[in-house]
Amino acid sequence: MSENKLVIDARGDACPLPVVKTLKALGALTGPGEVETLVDNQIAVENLSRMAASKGCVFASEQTGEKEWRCVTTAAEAVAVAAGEAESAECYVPAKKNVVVQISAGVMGTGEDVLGKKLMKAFIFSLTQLDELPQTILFYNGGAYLTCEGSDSLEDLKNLADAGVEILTCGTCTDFYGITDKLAVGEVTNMYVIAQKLSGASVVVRP
Amino acid sequence: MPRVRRPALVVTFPTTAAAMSCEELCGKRGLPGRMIPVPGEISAGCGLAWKAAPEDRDALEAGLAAGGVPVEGFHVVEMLEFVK
Repeated sequence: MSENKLVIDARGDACPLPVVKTLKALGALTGPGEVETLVDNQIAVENLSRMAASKGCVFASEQTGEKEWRCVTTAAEAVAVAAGEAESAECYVPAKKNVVVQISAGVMGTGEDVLGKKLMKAFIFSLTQLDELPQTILFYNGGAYLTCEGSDSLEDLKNLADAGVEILTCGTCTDFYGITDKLAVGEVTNMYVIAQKLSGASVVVRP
Repeated sequence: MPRVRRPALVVTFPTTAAAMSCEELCGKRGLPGRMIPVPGEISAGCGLAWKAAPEDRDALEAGLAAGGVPVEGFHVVEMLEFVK
């Protein structure tokens, strides 16, 4: 096997180069063998896995560093790679989810407001624990109070804002409730932006 | 702002009302911590819990006992925290 093993260092290579190089190496194997590819991003690992499956190869990967993965593509027999096939390899980059959280009240659900406030506070904390943070959190109507002074959720919301989450509060609402000068996190927005954010979302979460 | 997983003390309660009593008591007595949903590592069920630093356990245990707040358990779980 050692004679029929190729090692490709594709760290620093932009997609789809890791796939191109690995596919060429697979084609160069004269029979059963394996190609070890070193890459520096998870997407390259996924693309290599997809390519290996399409060629009937066994694929294994392990993360060996913060930004380093070792991928092994094992071929049970010679792999046919047509002329130009490697160069035309495509790179699949998963679309980034655009999650928008829509908060329209200071309470979560209907029932006792004392409980509803606790639930909303707990929900906003839960957002900070998500592996992938939402892109935007919209606050309107009674929800506008949550981004203003005195809100129990300010610390969580400030942390989320600092982490890059867009915090937007309806200006009509803060004006109506007389709390515009109390806004303590994020920006004031208008209905056009709210409509735009909601319609452009891949997922809308409404607690 | 990055987040890291750090050990946190999580106090669980037999009822939601007890969790709410804990929040009220801690606020009045200046005990550390905050209310959170019960992490999934502790229970698959829905509930409210109290989160603090692991080193705050003794103070909380004594304070809650003195305040008559029933506690179900003390746990240490890793939770995401923002690092400034």
